[in-house]
Amino acid sequence: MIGINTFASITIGSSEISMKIFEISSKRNIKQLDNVRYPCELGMETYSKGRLSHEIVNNVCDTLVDFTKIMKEYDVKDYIAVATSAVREASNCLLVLDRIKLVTGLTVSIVSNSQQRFLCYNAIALKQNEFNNFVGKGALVLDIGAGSIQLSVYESSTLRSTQNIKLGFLRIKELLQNSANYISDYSNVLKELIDSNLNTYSELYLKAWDVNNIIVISDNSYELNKIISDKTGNVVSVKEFNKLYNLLAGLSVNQVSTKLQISSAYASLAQPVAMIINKLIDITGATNLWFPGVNVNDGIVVEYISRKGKSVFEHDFENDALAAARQLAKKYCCDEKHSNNVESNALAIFDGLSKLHGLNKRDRLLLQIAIILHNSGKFINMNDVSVHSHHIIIRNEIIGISHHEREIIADIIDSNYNLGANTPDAIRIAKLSAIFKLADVLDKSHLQKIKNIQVSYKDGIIMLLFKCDKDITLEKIFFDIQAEYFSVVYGIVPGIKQIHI
Amino acid sequence: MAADKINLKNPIYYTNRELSWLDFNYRILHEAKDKANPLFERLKFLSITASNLDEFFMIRVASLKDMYNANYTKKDFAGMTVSDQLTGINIKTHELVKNQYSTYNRVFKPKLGELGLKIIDHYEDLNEEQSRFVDTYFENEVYPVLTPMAVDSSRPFPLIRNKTLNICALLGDKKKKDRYDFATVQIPAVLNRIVPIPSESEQTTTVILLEQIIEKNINKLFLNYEVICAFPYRIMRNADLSIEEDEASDLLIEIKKQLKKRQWGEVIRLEIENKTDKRLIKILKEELNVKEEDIFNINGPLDLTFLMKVYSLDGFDSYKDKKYTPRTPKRYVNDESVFDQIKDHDILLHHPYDSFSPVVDFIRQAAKDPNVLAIKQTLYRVSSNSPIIASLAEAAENGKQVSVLVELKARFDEENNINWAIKLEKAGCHVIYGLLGLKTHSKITLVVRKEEDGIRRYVHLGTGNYNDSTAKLYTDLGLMTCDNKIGEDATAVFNMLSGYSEPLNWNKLSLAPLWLRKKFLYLINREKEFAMNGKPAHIIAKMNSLCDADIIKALYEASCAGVKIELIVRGICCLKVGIKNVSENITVKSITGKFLEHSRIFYFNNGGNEEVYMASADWMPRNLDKRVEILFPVENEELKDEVMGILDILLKDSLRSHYMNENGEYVKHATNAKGAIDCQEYFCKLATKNSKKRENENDTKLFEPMKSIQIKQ
Repeated sequence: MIGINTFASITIGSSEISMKIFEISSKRNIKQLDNVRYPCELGMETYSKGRLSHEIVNNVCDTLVDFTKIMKEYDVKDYIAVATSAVREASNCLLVLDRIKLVTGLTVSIVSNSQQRFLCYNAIALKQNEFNNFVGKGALVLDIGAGSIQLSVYESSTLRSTQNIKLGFLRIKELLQNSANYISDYSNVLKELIDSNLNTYSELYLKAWDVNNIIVISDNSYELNKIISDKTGNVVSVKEFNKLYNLLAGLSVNQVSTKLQISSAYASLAQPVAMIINKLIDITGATNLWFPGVNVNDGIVVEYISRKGKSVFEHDFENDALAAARQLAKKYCCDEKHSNNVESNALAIFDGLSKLHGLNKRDRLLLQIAIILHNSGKFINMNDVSVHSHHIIIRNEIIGISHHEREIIADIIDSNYNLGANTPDAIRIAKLSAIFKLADVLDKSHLQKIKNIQVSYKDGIIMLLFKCDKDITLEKIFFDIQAEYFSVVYGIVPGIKQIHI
Repeated sequence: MAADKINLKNPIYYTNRELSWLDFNYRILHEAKDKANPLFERLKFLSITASNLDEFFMIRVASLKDMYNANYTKKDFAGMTVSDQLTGINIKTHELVKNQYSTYNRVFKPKLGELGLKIIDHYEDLNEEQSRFVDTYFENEVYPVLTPMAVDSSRPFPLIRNKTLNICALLGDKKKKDRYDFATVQIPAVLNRIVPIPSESEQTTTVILLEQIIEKNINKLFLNYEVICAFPYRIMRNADLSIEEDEASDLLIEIKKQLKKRQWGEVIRLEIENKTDKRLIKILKEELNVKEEDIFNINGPLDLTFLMKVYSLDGFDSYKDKKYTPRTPKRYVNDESVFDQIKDHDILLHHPYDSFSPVVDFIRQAAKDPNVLAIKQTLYRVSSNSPIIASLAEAAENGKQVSVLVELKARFDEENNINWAIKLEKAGCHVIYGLLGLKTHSKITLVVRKEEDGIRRYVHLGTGNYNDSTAKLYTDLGLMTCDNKIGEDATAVFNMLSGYSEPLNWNKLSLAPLWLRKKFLYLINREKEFAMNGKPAHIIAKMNSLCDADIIKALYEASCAGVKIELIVRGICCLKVGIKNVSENITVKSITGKFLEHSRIFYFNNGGNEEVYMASADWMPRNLDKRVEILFPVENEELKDEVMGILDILLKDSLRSHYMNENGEYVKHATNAKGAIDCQEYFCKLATKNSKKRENENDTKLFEPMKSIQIKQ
C-alpha cells in the first residue's frame, strides 16, 4: 500500500456541505472515490440574519460527524476542510469554527472569495485537456457563487481579465425576496438587474476579446447541469440551452422543481442562473457551454498535492496571475516600459541573490506583480503614489492570488505602510521590498538606461554590472539612498558598476 | 401506421389487476390439480392458493373496501370502478373457493386414503380407541390453553382476531328451554393444527384436525349450559392500515379518517362450514357486521393452509419431489477468498439452483478480512437467525464501518425486522430505518477494501432478498463484481440512502423512483425505433407482475411497430395479447413451479448489440414510483450469454408454463410432446451436472499422472 493515500476535502458552502474522497497515487494520479453532498442553507441565514443559528450549526456538526465516519470507510489519512462565505461572513464565525472543532474534531479553515475562486480554477486542472482546448479558442469562465459571480476572459490560452460581480444566486434571491410584495413582474425586474450589471461589464472587459465558449463552474454543479441541459454530458450547445431556457422561463418554482427533479431550494435558483447565462451568451456570441462539473473540493486536492511539491497542472496559472496584473496595469495607465525595465532588473537581482534571501518561486511571483502594479497609484494622484497603489491593489482581485498575498504585494510597494508591524510576513516583505526599491531606482529617469544587469555576489560583496554609456547620475544618487535600506535588510551594501561600451 | 388511429389507452386493452391476480391463483390451483405433479406437491400448491387468498384479502380487498367507503369513484385503466372490482372479485373468489374444496374433497381425500393417510375432519368418524385418545389429548394438552367466551347481556361480543380459527357454539339454558346464548372459543395457534392419532392398522397414518378435537369436547367448556351445536368459523379483517402504495395518495388522508372512526377493522370475509346452524350465522352476521356476499360457505375444513403441515408428515417421500440441494455455482470455489475470485472474474448466481452460500461467505469473509474498511447493505426481509446479520454485527465489532438500511415497511415482517435491527445497532452498526415515504426494495451490498493498488469496491446486486431460507425456494439471480463503475454507483446509492444528494450522474445502474421508469421506457422505445427502421427488434422480459399503464402502452406501441415481445410474467399481468393492431407481436407466459419464480430479467436486442439487465423491480407502479429499486446491466459477455441461455430455457419450457390466449385466459399446451422442458427441473439437473463435473475434474487433478516430461533445451 506504499505510495497510495486517501485524502478528503470538505467544503462548508453556502447551500451545501460536501466532501470528496480522493485516492492519490505516488505518480500523483488522482482518482475520485466518493462525492457526498448534503444540502444545507447556511447562506440564507448569514445573508439575511448576519449570523448562523444554533440549530443550523448543530446540523453542520451532525453532518461533519457523519463525514468523519465516511472518511474511516476509506481509511483517509489526511484532509483539508474549508468554509466559504456563509461561515466567513457570519458574525459568529469563530465560535462556529470552534464548535465544529469541539464536536467533530475537524479543523476547518476559512477561505476568502479569491482563494475560493482560485480553488475552483485549480479544480479545472483535473480536466486540463478539455480546459486547454476551450480556452485556446477564447472562453469566458463563469463561476457562479452564492454571493457573487466571477467572470474571467481567456483568449489564446491566456487570462485577459477577471472580475467579480455581486450577482450570486442567493444574493439575488435575498435582494428581491425582501421586496417581493412590491414586485409584480418578478422576472422582468430580475432581467433588468442582471442586464444592467452585465452590460457595464461587457463594455469594460469583454469588448476586446473573442469569446467562443462559456465555461460554467459552481459548487452546485449537479443542479446547474440540469438547469443548463436536459441531457447528461458536459458540453451543451447554445441552441440546446436556449430550448431549455425558453421552457423554464414560463414555469413556477414548483414546476421547475418537478420538471428538473431537483429540490425546490435549487429550483428557485434556476431562473436567475439561466438568465445570467443567457445574457452572457447574448453579449459574447458564444456557441458552446462547457460544464466541467468540478467544485472547490477538487481544487483543494489539487492544492494539497501542489503543496506537497508536486504539480498537477499543465496550464500555467502563474501566467494567468501575471496577465491579470498586466491587464490591471493597463487599466490604470501604468508606464509599461518603466515597469518592464524594473521587472527584469529586479528579477535579475532576485535570481542572483537567491542564496542570500532564501525566498521561493511564489515570492518571486509576488515581487513581479508588485512591480507591474507599483505605479498604478499615479492614476489617482502624482503624490503619495505608493499609498494609492497600495489601495488599488487591495481593492482589485487578481486571479490566483489570495487576499493575503495581495496584502503582501501592496506592502512590498508601500513598505512604510506596515513597517514595524510584527507580522510573520514582515521579513519576507522587507526582503522583497528592498529588491524592488533597488530595481526601481535603477530606472529613476524612466528612460530605461540600465538594462540586462548582471549580479555578482562573491565574498560578501554584491555588485550590479551593466553596460551603458549614458549618464546615470540621477540613478546613482537614488541608488545610494536605497542601498542603505537594502543593507538594513540584508546587512550588505550593494554597489553598481557601469561598463562603458 | 394503424397504431396512430387506435387509442392504446382504451380500457378494453387492459385487464384489471385484481382479477388478473385471481387468475394467477387459479394457475396455482391448476398445479394442484395437475396429475403430473406428485400428490404431496399438489397438497402444497393447494395450501399456497389458500394462503395467497388470505393475503390478497388482507391487502388488496381491504384496500378496495377502504376506497369504496371513501366514495372513490375513479375507474382503473381497465375501466372498472371500485364497486365493479369488488363485485368481480367476489364472484371469482366464490368460484375459486368452490374449486379448492372440490379438489380437496374429491381428489385429495380419496387419494390420500389410498396411500394410507386418513385426515379426520369430522370427529363423528372416530372409532372408540381414537375417541378415547382424543378426549385425553383434549384434557391434557388443549383444555389448559383455551379461553371460552360466552355472550349475554352482561358480556358483550368479544373481539375476534384476524385470520384466527374459532369455534362458535349455541348454548341452551338448562332451565329455560326456548332461550339460547352465543359462545366462541379461539383455536389456539400454539398447538399443531393436525394431531396424529392411533390408526386402525399399522400401515396407515391417521390425523385429526385440532378444531374437531375441541368441537367434540365443547360441552366440557360450558358445563352449566347445554351445547346445542358448535361450528368452526374464521374472519378476515381490514385491520391494519393496509393502503397499498399503488393507490392514489390523496386518498390516504381520507382513509385515515375513516379508520379512526371505527374501533377495529371491518370484517371483510367470514368463512363458515356449510352446515352451520342458521341461528349462529345470524348472530355472527349481525355482530360482525358482514355482508351476505362476504360470507363463504365452506364445504370442508376451514383454512386449507394446514395442508402444508400434512406435506411435512414423515413417510411419504415417494409422493414428493426429491429434495434439491443447491450446488456450488460455476466460476466459484468454496473455501477460497471471495475477493480474489471476484477480482479475477464476475460471478453470476442463479438461485436456488446455485447455493446462496457465496453471498453469505462474501459478508462473512468481509467481516473478518483486515483489509476491509466498510460494508454496506440493504436488508428487506431476512430469515430469523440470519448468518448475514451475525456477520454484519461481527464486522462492526471488528472496527469496520457497517451501514445497514433496514426496511421496516416490509409486509408482515415488521416485528422480525425491528428485533435484529436493534441487535445490529448494539453491535455498533449504523442502521437506517428506511426512507420516508419510500420502501427500499433494492438488494445491494457494497464492500470497500483497501488493497495494494488502492481502494477497491466489491458489489453484490440481486433480484431477491438477502434471505438464506427463501433463497432455497425462490428463483433469483445475483451478480458479484468489482467493476469500478458499478462500485462508484453503489457508493452513490448508499450516499442517497443516507440522505445525501443524488450523484451528478450514474455510470451503470438505474434507480427508481427517480430514473428507472424513464430508463425502461427509453429501452422499449429504442426497440420500437429499430423496428420502424426495419431492423430486427426484440424484447424479452421476465418479472413477477406487469401492471404499469405507461409501460404497457409503450409495449403496445412497440408491438405495433413490429417489435417481437416475449413476456414471462408469473403473477399479475394487465396486458392483453394478440389484439389486432395493438399487441399482435406480444406473447405472455406464466411459470409456476415448486420454486417461486422471482427473478427479474430484461433483454433488449438493441440493433444487434444485445443488452441484458437484471433488477429488483417489477413493471408495477409501486416499484417504479414508490420504491428504491435498482436495475443493473450484465455486461461480461460470458455471463450475458448465460443469462440469455436462462431466458431461452424459460421460453422453451412448456411443462411449467401457462400461456395467455387472446381471451385473456391462461392455458397449458399439450405436455406430452417429446423433449418438452420443465425449466426448473432442467436448471436443477444442469447445476448438479456442472458441480459433479467440477468435482471429477478436481479428482483427476489430484492424481494426474505426468505423461510427458518437458526437457529444457
